[in-house]
Amino acid sequence: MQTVTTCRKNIRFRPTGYGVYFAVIVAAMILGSLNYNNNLGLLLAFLLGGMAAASLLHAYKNLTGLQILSAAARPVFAGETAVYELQVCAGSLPHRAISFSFQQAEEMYQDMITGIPRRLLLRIPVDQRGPHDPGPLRIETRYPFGLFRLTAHVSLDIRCLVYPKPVSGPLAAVQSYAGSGSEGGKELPGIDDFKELQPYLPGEPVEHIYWKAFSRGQGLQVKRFVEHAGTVVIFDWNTMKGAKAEHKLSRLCDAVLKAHRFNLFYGLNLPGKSILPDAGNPHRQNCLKALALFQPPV
Amino acid sequence: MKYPGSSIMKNAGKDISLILFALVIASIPYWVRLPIWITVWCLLFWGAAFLTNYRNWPPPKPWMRQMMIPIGLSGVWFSYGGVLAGDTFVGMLTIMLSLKPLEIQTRRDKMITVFLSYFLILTHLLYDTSFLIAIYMLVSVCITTAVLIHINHAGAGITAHLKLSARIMIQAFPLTITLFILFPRLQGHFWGVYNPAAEQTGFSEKLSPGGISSLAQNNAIAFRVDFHGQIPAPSRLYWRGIVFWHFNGRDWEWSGRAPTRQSSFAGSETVEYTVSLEPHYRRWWFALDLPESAPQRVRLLDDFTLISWRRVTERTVYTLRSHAAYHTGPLRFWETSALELPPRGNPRAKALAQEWSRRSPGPEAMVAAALSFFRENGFAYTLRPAPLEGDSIDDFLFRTRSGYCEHFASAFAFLMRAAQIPARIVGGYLGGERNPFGNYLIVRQSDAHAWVEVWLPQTGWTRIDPTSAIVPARVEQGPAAALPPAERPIFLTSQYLAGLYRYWKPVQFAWDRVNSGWNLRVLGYTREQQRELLASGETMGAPAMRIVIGILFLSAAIAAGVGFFYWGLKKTGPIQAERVQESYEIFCRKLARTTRPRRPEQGPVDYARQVARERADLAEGVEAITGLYVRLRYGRGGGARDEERLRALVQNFKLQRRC
Repeated sequence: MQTVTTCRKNIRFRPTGYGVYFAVIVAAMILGSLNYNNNLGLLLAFLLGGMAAASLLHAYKNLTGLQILSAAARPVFAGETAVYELQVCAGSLPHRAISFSFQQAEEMYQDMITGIPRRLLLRIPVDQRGPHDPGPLRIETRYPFGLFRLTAHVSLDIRCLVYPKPVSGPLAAVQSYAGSGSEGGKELPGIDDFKELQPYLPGEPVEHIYWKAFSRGQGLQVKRFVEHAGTVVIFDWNTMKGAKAEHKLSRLCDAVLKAHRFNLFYGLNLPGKSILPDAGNPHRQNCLKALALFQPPV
Repeated sequence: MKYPGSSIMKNAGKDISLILFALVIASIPYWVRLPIWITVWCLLFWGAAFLTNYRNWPPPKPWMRQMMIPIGLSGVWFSYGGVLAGDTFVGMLTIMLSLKPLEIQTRRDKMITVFLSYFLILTHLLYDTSFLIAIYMLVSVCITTAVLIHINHAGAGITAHLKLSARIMIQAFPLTITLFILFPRLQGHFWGVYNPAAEQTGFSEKLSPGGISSLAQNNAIAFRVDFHGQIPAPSRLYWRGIVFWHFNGRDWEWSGRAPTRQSSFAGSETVEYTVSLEPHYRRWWFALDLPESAPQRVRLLDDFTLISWRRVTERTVYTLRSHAAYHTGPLRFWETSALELPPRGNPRAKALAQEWSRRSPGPEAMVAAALSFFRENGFAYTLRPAPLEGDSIDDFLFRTRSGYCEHFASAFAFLMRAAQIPARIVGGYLGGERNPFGNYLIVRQSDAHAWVEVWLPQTGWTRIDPTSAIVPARVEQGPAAALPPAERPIFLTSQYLAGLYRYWKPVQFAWDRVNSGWNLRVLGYTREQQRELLASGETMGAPAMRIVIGILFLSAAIAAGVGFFYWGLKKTGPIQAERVQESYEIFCRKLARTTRPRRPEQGPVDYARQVARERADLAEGVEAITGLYVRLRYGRGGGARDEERLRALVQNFKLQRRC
């Protein structure tokens, strides 16, 4: 994303309720002073009016030149809260009491005095899977008097990928045995079959430590399990029962998560898109993305 | 809409203290105007509001507040005698404002309280519009605005907000002045102006013994006069206000019989001057003897007094031409009332006048005889004459023989009428004090005077001042110098105070000059002056041209305001993070020469502690620089000035060798 800077052109202003109230008070002051021929009263009323006008200049200055260096959001599951992370910093001038918000997000208030970037987190609860568009970022200020509200809409063009909400249910997995059996298949790290003992390396799961050997004084050793690549699970859309597409996706999502957790070698078969069996984090993300962006057949 | 979060709530208590401070500042001028109980009431409730927030006292129950409102309002109602007037409204406004801070919860409450505070500042201008109050008003507005900014941005300190508030005020100034000059003024009022509490000072329609001497102690300014030339000699400074025609045996009354003058009169030695008349809540306008014609909305009566259609309720500025030498022509028919006396009473005075009348060859000799009677019979000029009993003129002429100008004028006019010479009493002022700063005349209530005019065949109505026959000093030096020593003001008699007074006087004059300029230029800026200003020059008279000039003025003002704004921007840039960092790195390199260098992962505060352990003598300087750096780098920041300060601190940081 390119750095976006707020400029005068895309700032709109309108008086707040207090602004209207203030205007009424100043008008009343002018009328009263005229009636009583009180020149000092007029002077005061004009001063207040002039100050309100000058405050508008300050408000414009306060909002222009604000830089949004980056904006991004990690993928989330539907029903969770999307967290948009913005990096903002002051341009050539300090900015005070600025509020940042997306249409559905709560406002964040922030003072930005220096050119040091600040991280802002804007949260939006999401219910629908798919790419979530937060809409334009609304940057707003009522500084200094609270009489005017200045708003700049900045379109950041970012999306938060929302995976389907995982729903557990009977797995409709198609197990296919590729190859001629467990001996000939490719070995993958797994949890099913014990293979050998190996010296412990820092970072390996503690539950794999072979404590009995440790108690015999043979040092820390870990049990290595393997899975035979021959065991491949494929989650297939077509074999799943149930009517609603979204529900199917939710269950597939749950299946993908579980398969990943159990370190299975899994694949996904969706109408129009199939992902070959594999394992690991990128694969998981790939599958979830496919589920998130899946367009059910008409 | 919900306003911020945490930072505002954290500062909520401070907000209320600041609002209370602004309210107290705005209310101070009222302390002498409102009944004392209202002041005490306000301070009590504001104090309670302050403690509720500051000490976390339990807030009062809503029903308690709601009960206090009717109590306070009825208190106001009774204090002002149940009249619905400006004073009562001001009292009610202060009562409401006294209770408002106790119920401040939301941002809305705060904003509204601040707006009401502006209103409180304004309403005081109903009482006082002096220059001093104007200055105070600016200060008060600045503070209230700073509080308004604080409500909208609790992130920074009040000092920064005060500065910003002052800056916005300065930026608003060009627009304010231009609007003030150009904004159309009203002729008359939208709604009635009722001001019953106004003090009526000066002359009433009746002149009774003791009427003027009661004014002698009153140092208030009656009017100021700016002569368009030399100030005439003191003996010419008779300021004519009202002519008393009718004598009822004790008092002289303004009969209202004098018609409006139709014709002009022959006069010479013309004087032109501008009077700035303070409100005295009567209809008289004062003019130097004798005014040529009346200004707008004022009638010139046949006895050469000026009477306005309306009472003078605000400072009024008018320019007049007067003739010091004149002849008023023959006695008119209606003026024969200047011979009327009550048929009964004061027999000895009447007898005396008739005796003079027999002996004198003409009216001029009569006048001279009467004046010499006053001069030669030991009459005393005093503020505290013996009270008159029975036939007041007889009693004064033959028994008490002491009085102030009204006694002399009254007796003299009576004697003239008794001798069949038309006579009338003129009330007004005599003299005035020249202000050396600005060369204008200040006429005070204590200069009030009464004198007599008699109609003589040769000269028409002729001024005779019997008081001057007794104390010539009254004319030349003013009333204070003419009184007996015991009655003079203390600052003239005590030598010590007189010395002080000599130094005080110029200060007083200078201050009066400032105020009179303020009155004329700002407060006295009227519709007429506006028209004159906009129509100055011949081609500029056309309405279209005036609008063009107006627009030009206005845009110039806006341009000036914007100019001020950008000029202000240059001076306060933001902090450049890189430059702050650079300064700190220079500082670390300096330190590395004498201590272990900073490890890359070591934080600045930790590093400062390490340096302090190694070189205790440097601890202070290191702490100052580190503190500022941390504040600029990680904290709320500061201004460009702080950044420069950091650089200067680093540059001046010396690693003296320990011996």
